[in-house]
Amino acid sequence: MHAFQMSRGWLAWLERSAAGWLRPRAGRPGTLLLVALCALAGAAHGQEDAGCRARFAGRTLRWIVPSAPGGGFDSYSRLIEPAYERALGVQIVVENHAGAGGVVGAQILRDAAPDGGTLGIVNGPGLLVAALAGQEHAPNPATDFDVLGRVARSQHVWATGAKSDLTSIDDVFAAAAKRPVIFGVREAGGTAFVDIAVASALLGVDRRIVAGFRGNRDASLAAIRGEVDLVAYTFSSIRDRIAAGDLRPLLQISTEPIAADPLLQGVPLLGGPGGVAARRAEQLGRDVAEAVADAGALDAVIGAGRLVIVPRNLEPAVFGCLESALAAALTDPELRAAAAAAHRPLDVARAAAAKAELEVAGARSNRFLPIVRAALEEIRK
Amino acid sequence: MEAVLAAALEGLGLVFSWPNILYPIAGTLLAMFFSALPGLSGVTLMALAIPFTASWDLLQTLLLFGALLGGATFMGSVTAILVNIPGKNSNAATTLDGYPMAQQGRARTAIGCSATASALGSTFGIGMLILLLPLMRNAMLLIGPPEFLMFVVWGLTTIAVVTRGSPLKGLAMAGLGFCIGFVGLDPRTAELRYTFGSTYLSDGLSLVPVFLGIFAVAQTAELMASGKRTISGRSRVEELTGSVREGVLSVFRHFGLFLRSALTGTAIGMIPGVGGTVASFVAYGQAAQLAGRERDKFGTGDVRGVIAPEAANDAKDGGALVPTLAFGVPGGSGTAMLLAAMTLHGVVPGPELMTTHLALVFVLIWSLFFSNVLTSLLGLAAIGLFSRITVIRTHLLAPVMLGIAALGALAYRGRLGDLLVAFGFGVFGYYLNKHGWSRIPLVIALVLAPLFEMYFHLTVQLHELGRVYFWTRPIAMGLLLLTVLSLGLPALQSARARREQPA
Repeated sequence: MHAFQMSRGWLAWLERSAAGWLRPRAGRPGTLLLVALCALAGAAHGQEDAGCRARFAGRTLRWIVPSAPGGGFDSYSRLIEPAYERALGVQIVVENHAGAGGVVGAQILRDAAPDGGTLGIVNGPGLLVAALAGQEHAPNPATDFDVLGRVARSQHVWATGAKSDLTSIDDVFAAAAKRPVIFGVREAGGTAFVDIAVASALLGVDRRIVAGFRGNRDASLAAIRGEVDLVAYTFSSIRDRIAAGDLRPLLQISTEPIAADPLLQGVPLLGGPGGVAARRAEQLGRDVAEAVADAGALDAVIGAGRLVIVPRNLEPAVFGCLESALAAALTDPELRAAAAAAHRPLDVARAAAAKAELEVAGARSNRFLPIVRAALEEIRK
Repeated sequence: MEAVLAAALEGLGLVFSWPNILYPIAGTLLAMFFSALPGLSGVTLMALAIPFTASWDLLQTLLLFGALLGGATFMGSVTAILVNIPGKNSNAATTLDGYPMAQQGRARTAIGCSATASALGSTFGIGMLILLLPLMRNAMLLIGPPEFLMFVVWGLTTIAVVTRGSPLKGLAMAGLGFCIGFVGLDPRTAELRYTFGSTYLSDGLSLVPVFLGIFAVAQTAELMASGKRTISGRSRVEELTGSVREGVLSVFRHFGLFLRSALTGTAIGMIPGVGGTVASFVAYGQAAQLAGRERDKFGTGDVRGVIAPEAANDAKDGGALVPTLAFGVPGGSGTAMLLAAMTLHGVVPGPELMTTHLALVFVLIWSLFFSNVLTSLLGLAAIGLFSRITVIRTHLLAPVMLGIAALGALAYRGRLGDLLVAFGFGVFGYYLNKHGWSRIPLVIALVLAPLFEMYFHLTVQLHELGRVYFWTRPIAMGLLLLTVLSLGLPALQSARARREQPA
């Protein structure tokens, strides 16, 4: 599933094989050859690393964060910064360019000179749904950049206030049969808005969206106060409120469990063959296979993740250096420990895998266009 | 309560032990330096500090961040008083009477008053925070969009007080401020308004370059056009009047006003996203509204016009920690940084923090308190140096002021558009003043328009959905009453004064 885990598996296999071959046994003529190959590969990797360090020696790179300091993207960036500096031997300056829901920072990245001096992190699903919401000036993450890798997937949960009468997703269905269920979001047309519009359509939930909260945390506070029934939020960002007992998760907007976190134990999944979307489709007499496909598509769009990107048309050698340095940084034990302590989960994919997933998500997002447009029309009435 | 006291003492011991005390001292000095440069602020410094402190102990991080949070507030008022450049947006209200005092050669009095009101205001805010600690979660659950809306409406009444000259012109400027405040993406409908296809405008006009233009650039142009040799009109320090002692004592002479302003600041600080700019303007407005016949002295160099905003601005820091510590909802940009640093250390705001880690909460509180007091003391010690700025020749000072304004606009976000906005509003502000159009209603409306819009829409939507009933919420009703009194009382006082005048 994840390229990093796969590559670690290959390394482990190589290690085991080499250990086996290196055992002093008679009649194994390939032993010396394999040892020589391994040594050569190691030397080549070392040379590549040294070549990259020489190429970037003394340079200061700009790391663009398309949001204000203090948020999730900023936190991830500042966690990665020291590890990346160690991996490439460069100085990195983190620059926050907030504005227009991440579009300003994304535009800076798109328009930067392709010389390897500028890279940054973007909200993959945010940019995908910006296109769905009709924001023509928003760069397309699948076509306007080159992806260096994925840092984390962004997977949402639906959560309600701890004192709410809604204690399970079935309670939500029961309530929605009598009255509209009320969701709170920061802005119309954002990722949470698309999540709610699409998932509620998929589940046949009558809902109203109250948009315009200062931030998703303020919307969460409204759920805690009981002013709205539910919020849809990235799990890693909402985890502290769930841990504090203020919010109760009711649904994972995902096809696989979001995290091996005890806080999500028993919380049902939207997608997958045994997911809530399939069960609900059965109850409502809809096409189950289509519901499962739609839930998977929503997971792909929202889970497109926090991507590290560079402007297009970078020299291949430069791209290679930046990509391998990112891969090394994201497996740095210090970074992993710091990310775990900060409850910022890493779900890493290297460039090729992240780009492929993004392209799939981009293609699948088009099927939600009518639902999102209808939800926007409804809120603008 | 015993547990709270024990935690308070433990926290105090941790802050004032060696070498822990070095962290708040270093944080305060750094924050003072940064916040004296317009456009840069303690928030910028905190953002830079987050990666450095990621590997530190939580205790050291809280010691530093408490100091960064508190140390940044006062210095912005020094530049507001001396050269009419608010170091932070929240110091803008201090320019209204602080700068006229500097023009009259009373900069020492103004800074002395500002330092004292800041230190005491911070003490008040922190005292309220400690008192509210056991109640803060329940208190936060009692206030929602209707109450926030009424706080903003109450703030709007300030416009009626600070408008000089024609009320119609004041109203027009407030209307213009609202129009400009509505530029950008409507978060409710995701529609762009008045952006003319520009991405720069899609988030609206940022207050930092607008304030730099309206205050710093316009003021420099006025100073140059006035032909005055220096800001104070004096050419030697010895010719300056006023004293630090006078400034310090003035806070105690107007202690009722100080308490009222500090309370206002703490209450407004508790509202997420509202912040010090609104707190200081509202406090200023209340001070003027309740000044009776002396209301006209405000804006001409009245020391009460410095006490009110400074007390409120520093008291709000204590209030802003309430939603941050109770629910992880930052009260402002400074507390957002603090929250980011805490999250990186795996600290979860909420009940566990308020019970298991209460001593660490007090470390943060005492560090904030320490830095507020240290900043004020250092400010008082450097008054002689500061006041020399008011006797520097205009032809030397003006280019420096313009340079600082330009640097501030650029340093804020690194966007050229901010520089253009600063100079555009500078020219606009200069001509407004020249033709007798008060700029302050525009500034207040600009600050309050997005908040008014947000809380108005949320209140209406939630009311229509039957989730909040405006007329049955006692705090909202209390604030409505306060708003009516704020508008009605001065009118009644004026009517009584007219009746008492001999025919």
